[in-house]
Amino acid sequence: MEPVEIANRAIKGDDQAFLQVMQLYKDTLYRTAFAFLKNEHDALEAMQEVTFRAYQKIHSIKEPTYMKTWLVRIMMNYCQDQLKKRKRYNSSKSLKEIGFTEDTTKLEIDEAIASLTSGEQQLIFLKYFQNTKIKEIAELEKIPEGTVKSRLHKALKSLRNFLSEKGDAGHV
Amino acid sequence: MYEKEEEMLDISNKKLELVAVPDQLVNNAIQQGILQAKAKKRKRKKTLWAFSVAAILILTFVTSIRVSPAFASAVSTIPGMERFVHLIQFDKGMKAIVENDYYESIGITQVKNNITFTVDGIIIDETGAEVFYTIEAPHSLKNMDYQEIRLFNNGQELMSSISYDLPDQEQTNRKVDKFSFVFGEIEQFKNTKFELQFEVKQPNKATSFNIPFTLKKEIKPGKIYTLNETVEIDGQQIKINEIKLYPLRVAITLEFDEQNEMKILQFEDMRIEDENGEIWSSIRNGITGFGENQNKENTYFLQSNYFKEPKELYLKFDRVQALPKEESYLLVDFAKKLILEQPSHRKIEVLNVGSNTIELKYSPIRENHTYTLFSQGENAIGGVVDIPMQSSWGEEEGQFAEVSLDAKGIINPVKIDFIAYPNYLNGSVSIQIK
Repeated sequence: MEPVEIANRAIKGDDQAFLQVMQLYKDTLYRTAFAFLKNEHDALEAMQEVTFRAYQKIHSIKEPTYMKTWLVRIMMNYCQDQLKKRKRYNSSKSLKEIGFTEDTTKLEIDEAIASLTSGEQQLIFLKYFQNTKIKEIAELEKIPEGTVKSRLHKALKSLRNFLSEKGDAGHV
Repeated sequence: MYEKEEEMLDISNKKLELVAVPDQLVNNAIQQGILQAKAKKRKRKKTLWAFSVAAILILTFVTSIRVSPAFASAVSTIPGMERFVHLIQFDKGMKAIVENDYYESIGITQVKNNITFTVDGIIIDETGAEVFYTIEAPHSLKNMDYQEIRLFNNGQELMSSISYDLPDQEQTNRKVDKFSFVFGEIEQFKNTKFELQFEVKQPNKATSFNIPFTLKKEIKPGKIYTLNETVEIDGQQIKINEIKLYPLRVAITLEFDEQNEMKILQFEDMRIEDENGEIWSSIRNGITGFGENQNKENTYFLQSNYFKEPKELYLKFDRVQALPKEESYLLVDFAKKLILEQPSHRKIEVLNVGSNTIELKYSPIRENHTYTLFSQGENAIGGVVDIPMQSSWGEEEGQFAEVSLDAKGIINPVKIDFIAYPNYLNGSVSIQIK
């Protein structure tokens, strides 16, 4: 069966199809969770919660071809909420956890992404990690494509500013 | 323009793709998520049906009580009844009905599209009916959805709200359950001829059953106590019009004074006690009443104890939920995703507003009980906005609720009245019924 057909069945409430959808996108979803939460334990918890939320809301999807992006967005929303909670409850601890990567390129760009607003982070992640089309993002967010483009432009600009500030600081 | 940044993002993405996915653990997590969602869906289905008639006040809870010897022996004399014990054992009134031989066995079966549907028996009075049924097939019934469920008397449909439990079934190809009908008003039946219509849908296939049956047992009439007495609690006037006792439920009709400052919502512990202070009747599981939005006259249902006749009866209540009238609602702009107005008590926190959804958080209102918070919304031009789905779940941090409005009806701002809220009147009421 084609992914669209499976998605269609899942939207209509077919449990078997829902499971197939999750199988199809589980790697993407897990890695999305990992990108935000940075550890296996939290990423697994995120998988369970996102499955739960997706199962409850799947009937509301209007465009089955956007299933994957729809799921990734639920995941990102969940992860960002979790990160906010973490910040609130034990900010010092989570800061240390972030320092696990040794590669400075990764660290810098990750830090730069983390400095963006929630909305910008999602946009960057969809565009550059999921290769989601501008049109799809526009339709899911219910905003014009032009707005998506300008927001993306603004997000990239913020990234550049963050990176160049960091860079300058390094040289001093 | 941003080639350097884009390149860095690309590298980061490639690194992310190298992260190993613990397949088995991920599968387990997915499995758990589905189970969790299904458990919740069952509860929600019930709410969905009950809300299909009008503004209805609902509370549900789950409890279990051991089967008493008297009840067990009553059950053993009714053919096939033992299958339904799990459905009624926690309901005092229902148990008394069975013990007093008011349950009527029907045992009529219809087979269509390879599905066997049996109406096993019924308990009916002028306020509603409990229809016990079994549905079986040679194949799994997992993908089967319930559609229309209707009850007719003398060829006319009885307007009612319907709920069903769909409890966990032992076998995948058989469901043993009951439909609960609560009639919109007290029904005076024309004759003893009834018919149940029931439609199920499987992928690409709908099957409908019609089971006509004639009752042999007499339908017990209500015992009516007319009071027309006014009581006061925390400065609010409540007139108790009448109390009607039926086998399935006690219906209490209250009228709220228009001059009241507070809008009265739920009575958490409304009960009827006998002369010894023993609770003769209390709030039952499921539909707890019918109300109208103006908060004038409401009917509340308590579990009945029809077959037991104490010398004296008292109506009592202490825990009365209420909000100041002028702030008993949420005013929401779904386009701006903003709450414009809400109760100043702030005992229910709005976490998030979506394009047609609201997420809320609050301290559990009452242990082991889940209240539906809203009945329906009203849009900017006075039209009704249905709330087809409300779900509520408890977590460590508190109780959460998610409310989904029918997007079609939304014209901003939308006013959504609370029908439950954890704010209380001070005082208590006790009034003698007989």
